[in-house]
Amino acid sequence: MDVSDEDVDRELSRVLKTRDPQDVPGFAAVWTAAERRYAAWKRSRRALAAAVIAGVGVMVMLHFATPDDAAAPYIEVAELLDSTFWIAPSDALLPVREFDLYDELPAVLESTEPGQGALL
Amino acid sequence: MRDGDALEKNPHVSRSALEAMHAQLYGWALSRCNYDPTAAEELMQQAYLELLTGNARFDNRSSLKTFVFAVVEKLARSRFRRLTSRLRLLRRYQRHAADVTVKIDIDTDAGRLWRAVGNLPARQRDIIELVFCRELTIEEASSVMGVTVGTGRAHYARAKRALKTVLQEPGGT
Repeated sequence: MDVSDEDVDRELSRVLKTRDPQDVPGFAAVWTAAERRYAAWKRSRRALAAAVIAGVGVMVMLHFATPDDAAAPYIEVAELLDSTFWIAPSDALLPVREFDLYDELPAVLESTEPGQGALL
Repeated sequence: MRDGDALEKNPHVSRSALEAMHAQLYGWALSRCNYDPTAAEELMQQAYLELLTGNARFDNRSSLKTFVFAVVEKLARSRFRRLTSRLRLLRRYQRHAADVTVKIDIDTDAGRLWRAVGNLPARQRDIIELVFCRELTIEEASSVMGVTVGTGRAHYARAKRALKTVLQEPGGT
């Protein structure tokens, strides 16, 4: 059977057209749903922008609130001596614990007898 | 374009123009999602969202129809790839049931031709659908598919040759 190109075109148009979807969801419904998602997208974008601005603001504030090293005042050592004192930790801690290491020395057992004044 | 009808982020796109091509676009979305209506509607929403947000920006370099069809095609290829492959897998396992459902169609000439279109390689099937169902030219269809016009013409010619053979077989139209 001889079929021309026009026959093929005509038949394809006829057959494929019958396969067009019959129950197309309404444009308004699909569009409204898309617009709702767009509104949510805009809200999330705004929230993100606000968070970024707030973050930058906090960083700027911290930067200006923290004094620079150059701006820090120099304190003379003599000024500090009047207001501070230092004590050795052993002096401070041992009396509190009532345990003075200097009172008695621990007895160490001799392992060998002395011979001519020297330990063997 | 009516006043206030243009989209805020896409001034060359109007709501009324989209409404006019909605049914055809849905048909295209449906075929991109293996004829799953829920997935097709989701894909349509996503395509409209891309236009509303301006992620897909139309600048009058092609027809609006070509542009919107290409948006659906691109979305289907990227975000819906996983979904469509799952559906394809599901379909493979349900082949027996599907064969029973379409048997009535296959017995007719139209059913034979439809099945022949379905058996074409994907690119050939797409160009046949775009030209004969969605009323695009071969140039526009090639643009939607993201191939050159030469490649589009080659796919079209091969598809037509294969379908012509089907129609010439005994029992054909």
